[in-house]
Amino acid sequence: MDTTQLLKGVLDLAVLAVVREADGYGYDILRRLRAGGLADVGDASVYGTLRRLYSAGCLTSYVVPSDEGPHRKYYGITPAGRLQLETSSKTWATFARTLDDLIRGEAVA
Amino acid sequence: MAAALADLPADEREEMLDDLRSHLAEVADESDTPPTTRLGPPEEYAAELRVAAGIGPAPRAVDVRAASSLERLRDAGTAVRDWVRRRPGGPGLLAFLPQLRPAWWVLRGYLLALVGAVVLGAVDFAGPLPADGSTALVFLVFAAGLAVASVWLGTHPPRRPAAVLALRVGGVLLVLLGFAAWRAASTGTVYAVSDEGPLTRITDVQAYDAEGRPLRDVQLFDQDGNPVELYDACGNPASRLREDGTTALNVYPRGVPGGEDASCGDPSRPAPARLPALVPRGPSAAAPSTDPAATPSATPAGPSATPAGPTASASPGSSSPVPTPATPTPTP
Repeated sequence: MDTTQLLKGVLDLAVLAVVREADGYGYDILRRLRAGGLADVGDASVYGTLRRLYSAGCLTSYVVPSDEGPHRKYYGITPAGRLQLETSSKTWATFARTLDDLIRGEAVA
Repeated sequence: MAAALADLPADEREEMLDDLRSHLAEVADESDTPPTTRLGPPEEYAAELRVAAGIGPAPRAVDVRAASSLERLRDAGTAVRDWVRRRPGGPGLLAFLPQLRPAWWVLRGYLLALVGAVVLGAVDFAGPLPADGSTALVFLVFAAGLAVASVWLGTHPPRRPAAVLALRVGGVLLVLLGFAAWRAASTGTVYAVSDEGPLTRITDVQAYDAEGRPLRDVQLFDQDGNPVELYDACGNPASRLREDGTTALNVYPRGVPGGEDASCGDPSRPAPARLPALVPRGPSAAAPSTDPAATPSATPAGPSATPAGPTASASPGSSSPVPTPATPTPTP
């Protein structure tokens, strides 16, 4: 099955995880996600998720002026964002385990 | 892309477009593939971006226009409300009016039925209901059904601005149209005749004198002194020229039976050639027990109305339509 459907559900989690590791600007976060193995993630989805997380207060943003290139908007994680990341990863872990059990159960029976 | 984000507030839109510009710059640096290949068509990109950002799909252009019109209406409404509030009794009125909403919904259904009846069915109205009894019953059923639907619509209002605006404007138009239709259907040159059959249009009048002789060239006026103008199936009035050059539109019966006027709707029942004489009016005489003028018996003389009686005297002119008796009444 293609990963796009799966991704839609957990993109918030993935983006928060990447930003917690290090602040980044849009393109950078996208690159890190792809490098991490999520090759199918769409650019627009990442940018949209960043905006939404920012509106929800999970991310903060600041502009980094640059002499030679354009100014870049950097995103960083907020305490609320860390909390969201914690709860979401727990939910994810439980969900993944449940699904694994189901599959193994099916295979056995 | 800017068009796809046009419904957003200016600063939010600018932010998103800025992000896009930076992203496009990075993407261009990445490789030589054109952006559309790399990112997909702009409409899809915009749609995906909106969904991920939690904004929702772009509204249709008609909704955007309708929303701005509604905004203007709301501002005007607020101005009116403020004006009313400052007047004495204003706050009370403003508190009371919203309670009338359900009544408006019911009225809306009735008006729709009224307009439908007049425009589609050419129904004539006497007051709020059709003049004819059986039509009135059918109309009531329709009006009740439409009123129920209208109330349902009132309690489940649409959300799209275009639909809301259409409903408001339509409501105002319906009131105007309903009033106009009711006026048009209430006044007319139709005189209700029988109560056993459907409403019949009178196109011609055959009068008889007290002796029962048919009269020709009778000029009719109503109780207000207005000429009685009747139109035949082709829409022609009964017109005759007067010697002073004016035209009389109330001369009956029309033309010569069997002549050129007979083509526009032949009478279903020919007028009798002669009626029994009336009992003369006396000082103590009550109304005659049988009024022969109301029930003309079908004489075997055929459709011709022999001009046996004296012709009516010429009316004094178009300026003062005084009803003159067509024949001298027999003195008791």
